Amino acid sequence: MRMDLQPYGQPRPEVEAPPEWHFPTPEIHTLANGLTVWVYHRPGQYVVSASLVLDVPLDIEESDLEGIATISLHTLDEGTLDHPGTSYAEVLESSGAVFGGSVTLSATTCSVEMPVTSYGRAMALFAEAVRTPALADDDVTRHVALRLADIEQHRANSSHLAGLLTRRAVFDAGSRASRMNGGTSASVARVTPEAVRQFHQTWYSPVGAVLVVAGDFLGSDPLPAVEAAFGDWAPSPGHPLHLPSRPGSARPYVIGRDGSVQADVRLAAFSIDRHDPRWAPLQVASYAMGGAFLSRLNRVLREDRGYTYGISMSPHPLRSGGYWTVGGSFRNEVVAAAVEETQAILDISHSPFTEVEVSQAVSFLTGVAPLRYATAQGVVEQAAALAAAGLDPGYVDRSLTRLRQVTAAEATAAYTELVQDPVLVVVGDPTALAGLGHPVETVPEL
Amino acid sequence: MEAVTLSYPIHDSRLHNGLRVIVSPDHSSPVVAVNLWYDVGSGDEVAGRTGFAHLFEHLMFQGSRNVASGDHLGQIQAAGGSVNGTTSFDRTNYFEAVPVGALRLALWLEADRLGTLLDAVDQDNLNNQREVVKEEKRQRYDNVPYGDVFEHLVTLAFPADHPYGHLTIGSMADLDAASLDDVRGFFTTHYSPDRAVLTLVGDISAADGLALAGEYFNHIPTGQPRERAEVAPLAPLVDVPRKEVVAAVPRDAVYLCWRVPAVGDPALEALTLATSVLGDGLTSRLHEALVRSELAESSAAFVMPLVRGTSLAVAYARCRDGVDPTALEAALVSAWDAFTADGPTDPEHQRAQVQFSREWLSDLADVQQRADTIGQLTTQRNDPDFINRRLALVSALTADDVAKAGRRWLPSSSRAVLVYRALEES
Repeated sequence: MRMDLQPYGQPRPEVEAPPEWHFPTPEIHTLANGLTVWVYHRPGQYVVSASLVLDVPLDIEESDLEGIATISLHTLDEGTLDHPGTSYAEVLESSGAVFGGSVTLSATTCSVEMPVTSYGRAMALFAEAVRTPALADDDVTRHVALRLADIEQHRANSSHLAGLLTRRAVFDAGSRASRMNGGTSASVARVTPEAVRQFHQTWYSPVGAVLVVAGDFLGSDPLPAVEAAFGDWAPSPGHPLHLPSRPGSARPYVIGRDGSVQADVRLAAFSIDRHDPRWAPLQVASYAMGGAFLSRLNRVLREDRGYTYGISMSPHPLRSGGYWTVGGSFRNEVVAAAVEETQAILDISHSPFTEVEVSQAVSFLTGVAPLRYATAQGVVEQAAALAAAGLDPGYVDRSLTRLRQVTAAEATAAYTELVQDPVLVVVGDPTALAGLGHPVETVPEL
Repeated sequence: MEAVTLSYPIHDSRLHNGLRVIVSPDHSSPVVAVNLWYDVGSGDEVAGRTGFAHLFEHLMFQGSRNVASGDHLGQIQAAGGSVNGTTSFDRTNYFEAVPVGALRLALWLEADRLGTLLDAVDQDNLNNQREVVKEEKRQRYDNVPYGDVFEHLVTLAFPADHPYGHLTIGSMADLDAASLDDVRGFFTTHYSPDRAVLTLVGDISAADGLALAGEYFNHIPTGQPRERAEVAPLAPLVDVPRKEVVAAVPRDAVYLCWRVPAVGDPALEALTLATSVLGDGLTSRLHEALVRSELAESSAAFVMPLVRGTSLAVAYARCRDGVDPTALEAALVSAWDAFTADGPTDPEHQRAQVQFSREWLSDLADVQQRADTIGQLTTQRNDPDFINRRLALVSALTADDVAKAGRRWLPSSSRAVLVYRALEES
């Protein structure tokens, strides 16, 4: 750092306070079959984005068939009753639309993006995949094989493996969160086409589902197309159950991966969800500790020591419960030193968060919102995440208001309560892990 | 389907020191994207200094006369903005997206480092960022299955002394060799207002944008002339160059690449559609021939647009368990040959065009990507308004145009081949 600052060009400008900003408010409709629809009119957004959040928590998967929700989602667009085989993808793609989706612990989300000019047609095709997929034998079987291959790719990837083992370490084995959303190689291998068709019939339902739609509809009302596509979708028999996640034994994992030139390190612990009054203070504290570029961790381990490309801390809220992680990867020579220094920095008993750290964190966390939610896709992703967490569309504004109230004392107190006794997960070359004080294990089956 | 006509406003000016300033107002959200696109990339590196353009980009965040090390990022984040930089073969871009009230700060920070970087660079922060970049290389390339794909592909496709003959991340030995003199030389040669495009997209008027750019950048002097050799297009590959590697990867895999025309040649747009028909989506030729037929766990094809004479087209597939890569390559080539012989069907061509249209509109929906695209089009084509015309140009291409481009540039006899064989688990 230079101390002998000379005048140059213009003086450093002051930052003006950002204008008041609100997350957009949706039109909310409820169809007769129970489907809730959130419509966001976003002028200038000519690619319409839509996500259907189905109330399909992974707690309802049979334990010996875990991964069936993922296989079901992946097979939806492989053909429908009206458009069998590739003819479905052909008509969908020729409308300019693209189908996607994700399976999280609390929901299956099916998504579509389409040019506004083909909105009605693409919405109808989207509903076809969701409501009447063919789920043909050979397509399901292929997706089972592809998911098994996918698991092998994760197992070979140091960072993915560290992430998966972190969940295994943090959560109780009885919590679905302790295992991969997409199932294990043992459970996925048991998934049959008949079971997938049964799963779809039982759990895909308008009841409890939220369809989020955003875009510039060129002055038209987007609801009739939704009514036409989903209005006569009959409810299914399943009664979803959302179980709270629970903390596990916090057993460390130190995994030898031969030939690694870096070790992936995670420190993590069971934590809270968005309903906890400490959620906003924890967000602020995590940002100050490991979210900002000049966070306490990154400033030392990257910018002072040059041990890593980056180290970060982030909280991961689930619908109920959650966890926080600190993660980075370090060259073999410095792994033990990096872990030791990280642990020392995480201890804030003699260095509580300052008002400056807190105000910078709040400024960032609130300031990036207008940009994050400027596109139709950004709005839909956030709104769908809220729906999956059982939250309402007003949550974003309330959360921003709450963030602005966080004090240094609150951030310090929440952090001190929640960031204790983290479990260590390391994946790296065995020779680099010797100094960590734990036995080195082989790469486990996933 | 009706075609969408784009009309993003483009206000194109130049400061007296040569800085090109493009302002594109968009008042839908109270943010401004600031993008500085410098016309320098790893293609400008000299022998023995691979990786330097990217290492230099890191040093641009290590402070300048009025900014402490790391504070460029720190100040923008503390103002509620996002900020970063990236380096590729042809360019280095630096960008901030900030609430409107922090626009002046972003411009001031960018101007301070363009004007005074060398006041702050010292051996300590060079040493530190060298280690950081080496960690980045380990994390993103060396420790990842198939992480060295492009290192092998550029070696197959380009001579070693070609601007694209080595990867942007460079080699550990060259990173180790980088000195403070290299930093000074690189900055003086490549970083000046006349070699940059400043793009502002967001909640600002054209007049205010230009005035602010002038206020913060006007005093920075024009650079010295830079010698840059013209790079002639390379002829298509012959004799199918081939490389096999045994690596710690979960499955065998086959990667193919072709030399294709550079950015600006209309054939490259046709090849974008061709590779889309071949390797993008559930209806693509490769997905049908390789994934649906149970030979591959994944497949794709795409074009990597480059400026200096020659771009790269790439296709790949990863073997399903038990499938031999030779068989997979044969099946890939067979599907490829069928396409290059006859071109796309009309429905395939129509799908590729509407999919291109959605992707283009979707990319531009975000002010940061829009600003980056404008910086690219201005630098590479001297035509920022091409952002509004590209869609019409691609929509006007016929299936025959695509067939011709495919036949000319993508015959399987002009491919290079990289095969991964999985190291047996001990």
